[in-house]
Amino acid sequence: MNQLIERYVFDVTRRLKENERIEVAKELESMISDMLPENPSEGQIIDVINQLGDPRLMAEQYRGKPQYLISPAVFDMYFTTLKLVIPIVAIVLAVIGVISTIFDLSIPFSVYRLFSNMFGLAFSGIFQAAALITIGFVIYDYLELKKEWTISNLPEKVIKPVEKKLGISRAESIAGIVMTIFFTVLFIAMILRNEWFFFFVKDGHLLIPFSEAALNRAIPYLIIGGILGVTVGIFKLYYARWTKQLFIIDTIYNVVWAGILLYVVNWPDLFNPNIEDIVTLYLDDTDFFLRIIDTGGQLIRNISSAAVIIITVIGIATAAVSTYRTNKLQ
Amino acid sequence: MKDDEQLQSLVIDLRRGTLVLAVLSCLKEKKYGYSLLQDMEEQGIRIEANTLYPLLRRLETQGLLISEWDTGESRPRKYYILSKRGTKLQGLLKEEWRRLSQEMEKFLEEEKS
Repeated sequence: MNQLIERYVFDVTRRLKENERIEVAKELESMISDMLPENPSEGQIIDVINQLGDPRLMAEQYRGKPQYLISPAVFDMYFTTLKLVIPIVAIVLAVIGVISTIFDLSIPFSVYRLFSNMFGLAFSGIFQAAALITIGFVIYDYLELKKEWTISNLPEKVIKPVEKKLGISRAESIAGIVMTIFFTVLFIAMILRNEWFFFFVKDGHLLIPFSEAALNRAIPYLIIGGILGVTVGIFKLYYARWTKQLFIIDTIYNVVWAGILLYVVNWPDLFNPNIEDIVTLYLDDTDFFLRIIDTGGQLIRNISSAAVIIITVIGIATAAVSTYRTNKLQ
Repeated sequence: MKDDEQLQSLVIDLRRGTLVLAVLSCLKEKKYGYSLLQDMEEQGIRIEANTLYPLLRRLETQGLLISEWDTGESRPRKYYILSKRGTKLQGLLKEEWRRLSQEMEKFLEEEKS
């Protein structure tokens, strides 16, 4: 038989189930030879094969129904999940890559290592996340298709689309998550390593305004705050608008943070006992500051506490206004 | 141009369902694939070879057609004929088609007036 025909038949049948291949190959060969005259020329054979068309489509016709790993019914949801998760994973891992490189003291710092860690972590994370989501959806699809749809399958909550300006943009939420992770890790790393960040330098003297014991004690609170911050960010991504639930979650987060700050600010041993030295070193007109310190830094504590309360109230009020505006229009 | 393409794909959708009835109706006597293709073309029913052959195979697996290889001649050919079930279903499908086309015709007439 002509080699072109043989190759065409093979290209169709290799896409079919094994038990069908021999029979379909016989059918195809017989039908192609019927379409050709005796002793056909190469050109005639090419014509007939062109008429039969793409072997992939031919094979699909033979299979009868298209094959899916993830069926069109759930593909949308699959794609939305990918779009939601992949950027977060990429950015969070890139940030972790950068931070871990900067704070890894076992090897000298290099820009090359910084970028290779950043991209390496981000890319491996993207592929792992994509693979896990895909496998998850394949399984979900397989189990879901077996089930009969009933009225109880309808979603319990209706999420109406909102105008874009009332929604919380994905970029905003992701930026929030990234900043939270970055600053939490940064502060904890600096406390653990007694980094320069907390030192004031004057005339070659290094002084730290906070006491070491207080800083170390603050670490668990920073971790709690960071975890809460990331959680709120994820909820913002999930709701993508100011729902009442999101407002409650956000308010709890604000109140917890305010509570932590008020508690920490009022620790009696928060400031370094040498704080007087710092102030005298730093400023020529020391009278005013010495008066502050005379009272054990009480004025600083009061001002900070007031600032925390005001900022928290403003934060909650802004969220309340957004929530009201979003829900009023429904 | 775009309208043309859209019309083409709509026509294909419309015809797709009628092809099974056409094929079944042509196979009261046994025929091999290519002769069936030619018969249908002669009667004005256009069907592509790459649609017809897979369709024949599907109808056979569904038990509506019976097939048989004839290896006597120089070219081996697979002959198809309606099975008992196929004959019965062809009759029912024909009735359905008549009803459907009458309904459609009536509907389109009313819409015109």
